[in-house]
Amino acid sequence: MSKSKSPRDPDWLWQSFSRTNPRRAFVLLGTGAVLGLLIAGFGLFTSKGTTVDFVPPEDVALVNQQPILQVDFDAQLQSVYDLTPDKASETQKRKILHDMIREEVYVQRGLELGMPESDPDTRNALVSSVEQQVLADVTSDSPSDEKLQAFYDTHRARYASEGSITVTDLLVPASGGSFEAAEAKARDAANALQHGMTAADAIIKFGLRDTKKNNGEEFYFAARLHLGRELFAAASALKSGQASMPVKSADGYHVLVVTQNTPSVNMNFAEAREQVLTDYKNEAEAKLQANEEKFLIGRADILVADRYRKYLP
Amino acid sequence: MRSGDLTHPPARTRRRWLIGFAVLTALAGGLIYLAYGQILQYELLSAESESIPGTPRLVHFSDSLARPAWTERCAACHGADLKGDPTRGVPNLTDGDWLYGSGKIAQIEYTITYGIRSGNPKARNLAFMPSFAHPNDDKEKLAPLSPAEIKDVTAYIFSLGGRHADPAAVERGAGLYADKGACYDCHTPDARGDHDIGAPDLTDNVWLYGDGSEASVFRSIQYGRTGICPAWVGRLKPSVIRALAVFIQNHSQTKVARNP
Repeated sequence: MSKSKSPRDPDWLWQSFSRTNPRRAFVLLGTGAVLGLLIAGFGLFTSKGTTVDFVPPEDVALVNQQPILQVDFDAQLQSVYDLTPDKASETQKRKILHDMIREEVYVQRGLELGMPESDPDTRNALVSSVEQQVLADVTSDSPSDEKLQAFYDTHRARYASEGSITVTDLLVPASGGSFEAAEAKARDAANALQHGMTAADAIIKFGLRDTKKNNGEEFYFAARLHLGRELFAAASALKSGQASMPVKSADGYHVLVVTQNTPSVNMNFAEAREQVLTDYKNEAEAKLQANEEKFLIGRADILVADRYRKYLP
Repeated sequence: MRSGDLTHPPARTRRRWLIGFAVLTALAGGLIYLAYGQILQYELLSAESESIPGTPRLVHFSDSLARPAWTERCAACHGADLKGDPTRGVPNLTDGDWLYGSGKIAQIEYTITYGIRSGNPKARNLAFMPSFAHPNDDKEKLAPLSPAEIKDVTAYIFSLGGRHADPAAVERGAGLYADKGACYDCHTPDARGDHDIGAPDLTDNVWLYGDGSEASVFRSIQYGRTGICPAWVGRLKPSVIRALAVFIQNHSQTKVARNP
């Protein structure tokens, strides 16, 4: 049997560890158990959905376990008093906390009372929120340039600068319903304008009327709206300084004099990138929204009265 | 000496004990490290946000917590150096020019939490820059502007930044700014912007989009702008979001001036 050694002996530690010591074993076992419980408890009480009686540090309060986030509290302070937390007084913070707790208990009461099912405003807000929630991932997605380039290549025709045009619309009215006389006069006027006569001179010489439909240089979309599709088509086909042939309309014949025409120019990918991104997301959102709608309607138990069945999409 | 003699353990037994001891020490060290991390996270979250820059320990901890998240989540748009990308309207976060708020940690934290036009109901999404070269849309009943009018507004904006512009065009542009274009509604009558809704200051020659050239400003008015920032609530831990806010403010040039 080996002799017991004093702590001063260099082999004492080894001897001590190598021996079975019930007290030490018990202490180690207990320590391990307590440590395990602590770790398990931490995990348990900090996981979501666990009822706790302490407020997590990211929250300022829990109302029936519903957190009021610090970030929301700070934003409310900023919104109501235009102050950050370090500048707000005790009274102001007390007021904000009271307001937020009050709102939370009212919201919870509203849910108990079934407000989402009966109150139109709540319903609208819920529909809007769910729509936004569904689209959140797409909205905040950052598609790669390769994806955007592919989208751009597929829809290249969409990406052109907005053309602009300055056009004067001169009308030869068909007075008394005589379109033939008006056409002859418009033809002479167009001929003169095409050979260098100014619009002002042509108005005087041929008795034309400036419809003033356009107001200086306009983007194509505006000129199209002001002139109408047919006259715009005639005008946009002309180059700067040209006049059109007479164009018949319900009120007579029009001659269009184009002072300046800067047609739409196709944008390269770099120029169009922002629009491509917007369109890409719009398309993705529309698809996602349609799929979500289909899924929600598909899983719902919907019974439609016979007389209304024909209206089902 | 016999093998197994307790008074003189063989080298193998001693090595085993040493390894065991080292493992236990490492485990204990790891646990202490984790516990310390948790304590710091608790401290970071429960501290008054604007007091954090005055606590170097928390600033340092925020930095270590934020850097991986920044690299993984934010750098793709804002860049590893936080300087953004004006070709895509991604703001430079180091220049002290804040679109939303005035660079307070609480304000940055809110933006990271809920995003900008992110689809989150609490996102910063009150305003957007409409397109003036298109017919009215449903959102804003604004009359479109003609190319000449956009040029005039551009001239006015140039004059606000102290750059040369045709005085007649500037005068017409000022009229459009205050009337037909309704620019004042977001950018405010003195054009210094509104940090509550993210309307940029037009007088400071800091450009969110492009280089501030005539073509670039014209394009912004012509086609409009609507940048976005995702909402990170639920995707990043609250402590990481706050750490990112501290990290961003720490890299902003005006942090001292704004938070004395």
